[in-house]
Amino acid sequence: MTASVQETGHGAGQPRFAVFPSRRPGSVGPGMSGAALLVTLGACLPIGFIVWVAIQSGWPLVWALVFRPRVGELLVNTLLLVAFTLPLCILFSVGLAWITERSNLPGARIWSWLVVAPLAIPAFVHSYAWVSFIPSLNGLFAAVLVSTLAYVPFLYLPVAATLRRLDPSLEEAAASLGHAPLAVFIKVVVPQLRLAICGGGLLVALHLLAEFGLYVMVRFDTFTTAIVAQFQSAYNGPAANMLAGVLALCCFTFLGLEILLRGRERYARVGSGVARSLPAAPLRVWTAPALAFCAGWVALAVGVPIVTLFGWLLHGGTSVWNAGEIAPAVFETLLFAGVGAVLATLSALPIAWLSIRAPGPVQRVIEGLNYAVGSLPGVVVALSLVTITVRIAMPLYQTVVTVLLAYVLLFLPRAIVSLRASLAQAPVELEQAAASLGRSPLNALWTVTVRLAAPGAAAGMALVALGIVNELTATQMLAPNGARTLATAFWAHSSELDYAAAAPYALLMIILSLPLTGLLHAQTRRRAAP
Amino acid sequence: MSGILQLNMVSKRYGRVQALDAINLRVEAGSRLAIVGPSGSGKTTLLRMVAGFDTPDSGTVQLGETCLATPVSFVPAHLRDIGIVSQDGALFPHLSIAQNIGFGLPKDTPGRDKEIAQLLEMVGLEQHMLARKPDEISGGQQQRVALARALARRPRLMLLDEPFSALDTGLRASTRRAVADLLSARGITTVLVTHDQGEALSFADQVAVMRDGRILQAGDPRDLYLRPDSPFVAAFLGDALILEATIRDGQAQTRLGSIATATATVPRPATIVLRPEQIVLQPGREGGEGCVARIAAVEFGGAGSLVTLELVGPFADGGPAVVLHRNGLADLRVGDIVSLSVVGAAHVFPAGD
Repeated sequence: MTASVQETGHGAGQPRFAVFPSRRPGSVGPGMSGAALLVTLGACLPIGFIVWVAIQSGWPLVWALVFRPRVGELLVNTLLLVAFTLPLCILFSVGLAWITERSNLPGARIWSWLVVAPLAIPAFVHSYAWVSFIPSLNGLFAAVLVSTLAYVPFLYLPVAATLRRLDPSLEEAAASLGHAPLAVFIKVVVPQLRLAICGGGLLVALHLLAEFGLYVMVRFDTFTTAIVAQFQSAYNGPAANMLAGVLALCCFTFLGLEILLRGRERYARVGSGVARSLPAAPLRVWTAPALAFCAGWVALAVGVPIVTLFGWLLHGGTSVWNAGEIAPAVFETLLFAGVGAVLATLSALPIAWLSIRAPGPVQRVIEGLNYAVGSLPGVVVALSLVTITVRIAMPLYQTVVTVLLAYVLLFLPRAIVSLRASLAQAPVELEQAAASLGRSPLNALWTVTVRLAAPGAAAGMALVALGIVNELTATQMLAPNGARTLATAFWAHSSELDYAAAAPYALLMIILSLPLTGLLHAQTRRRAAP
Repeated sequence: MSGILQLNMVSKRYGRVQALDAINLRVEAGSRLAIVGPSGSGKTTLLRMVAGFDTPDSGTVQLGETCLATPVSFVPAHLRDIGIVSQDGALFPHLSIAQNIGFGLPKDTPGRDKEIAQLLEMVGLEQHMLARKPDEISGGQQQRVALARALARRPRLMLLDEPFSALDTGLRASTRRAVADLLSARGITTVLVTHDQGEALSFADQVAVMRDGRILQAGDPRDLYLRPDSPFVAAFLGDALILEATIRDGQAQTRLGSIATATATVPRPATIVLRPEQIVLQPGREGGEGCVARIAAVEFGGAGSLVTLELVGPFADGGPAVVLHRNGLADLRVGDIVSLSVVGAAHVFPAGD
């Protein structure tokens, strides 16, 4: 521990000195670095598990389990799903973002909220609505349709934010150089959307790999559905584990692809000064088609789930509102979401702190590892925790501790991103200024940094809670016997085709998610303000 | 081919703000006009109307024989053949310098690469920069590339929207000279918007001063400087000593004494303006014929000093102190007594101002 020598100043004659243990304001102590390392090691458990199982199984078994027709089928299905869904998501999100952000569409602000609204509806509730609306809906077409409707907001949010903060002088310069509006859009606007499209596209791709409930409902096999099926029929046998390994490889491939496509280009504004906001483009004769497009989209992405849901609620009447079943599910969901969000945020703190206060190669490796682990689907994380608890920590198997650990592993990147942004609001210089004004380092930390970072951290916590409320796969595989969240209760009823009984749980999930979705939308708008 | 730019009764309102109020303006072919005014005076709005980035509520914009904007028609920006260089250059960050310069040139232009290289050379940059990205060159170089990019299409009119304001002082002067020379050599009609009156006076053949969406005065830079129509124009175009006076026998009777005027003869109350270079300070009481003052403060600023004078003796009237800019080398100390005399004639503002 370092020590500082301070003059006490109250001796007569000769100055007297006292030695105080000290923490320099804004410094990163070994404790914080150690904690960051510890969290990262913990986060690497699932990757370690995949490697460990592969080594234990031996190469011949790994070969036999990986290179078989079934894996080929799943791979083709998964790649087809991504190949069709991703371009559609990009097309619709860019179109909707341009119309709502850059044109003079009547009620653009309201449309923008409505386009983001599907985020409040869990993906498996989307498919529940569509399947009960059109029972014959199944296979690749259904999977692409429902995935596109459910996941467009993941791309819409970053694309809309980028469009809002683009420097208008670039488009004006292109126009003054003789380029028509469409050419300006293609040559100047689209290249600047590349980062947003890459980031949002990766998020969509990872969700396509990780989603379970949606594809079971539309009877479309992916790696995730196959792993859960294997797990349910043969527990955690090597077949499920190897599928999880291939799935993890797919995730890392998408991560690598995103890095490759993103490139090293710089898209930030060149020059100084503050960018103006661009005047809205007049739609003129295109106003009606644009309104029809937005209305059609909202009808499919929000209208169908909501109308179907209320249809089932009406059909079920009061009998489906069984307080004895619903109240505990709400309580357990809120408990898991609250505790999980706090734990994930606390775990993210040392990594986010290191990222802002001591950036460097080691910190970048730590952060990168956490993002890589965070890209793993819930099913992989759950399977690894089942294996680990069964083999070396049996008392923890199917306990609340394991579920919470899974939540931390799954939502750590989300917490890191939010915390990092909020810590950046409190630069070290402010803490140093407080110290120079007589505050002790801890007092300066509390009164300046914590106060400034708290709103962002709380918003981050809310986003993690939103993820936990809608989490199905890991909760289903790890929750203690008898434990029921809204998601697992919904799934239990809808799996038995009792859609009416499932409806209240779906509605409650949506009601819980709505304010958090609103928060996410508002946060993105605020950050993107020019 | 450059053309005459004409604006007739152009108005624009944003909500409650009247950004442009019945603007009339004419810029001769091949000449350079500078529009100056404080922030919010409407000068950038005016430029955007000409560029085609915004539509006027009323009035017409005409370039040569082409009507660019009327109440019933509007030529979009990409069809106007008008180049623009903005405050930060607006270079496309995802394109190289060569791609930026060639952005407005069709791909099948014969000798396209050669022309890009020539344009780069013309703006005083070296060929090895062609492959660089905008964030790899300095601010001054970015401005030059932006100019080369705008020149590539051989525009009929060039609009410069405070293009030198982001540059440091030394670079600003050299870039401004280079740009002025280049535009003159090509005979391109140019409109510069700036809030820097020195820049406007040195760059342009004609200067227009704007305030609250109106053009207060337009004309030859020297004429505007020496014969402003209002105290605002006088103060905006440079340091000015503005005094209340009574005109009698071609002389302005002021608190500094009697000062000759250039034009006014009819006896009346008036406001006059003196430029700092017209006022001579001499140490002691005996040097000048004019009034006597005590130096109350000197703010040394390198090349110049700001001197605050309190009138003393028979001239002490309890009025505000007189503040003048002087050469920084002048040996002026607080408490010194100086006499003030005026060289040349004072300009009398037209009646009513």
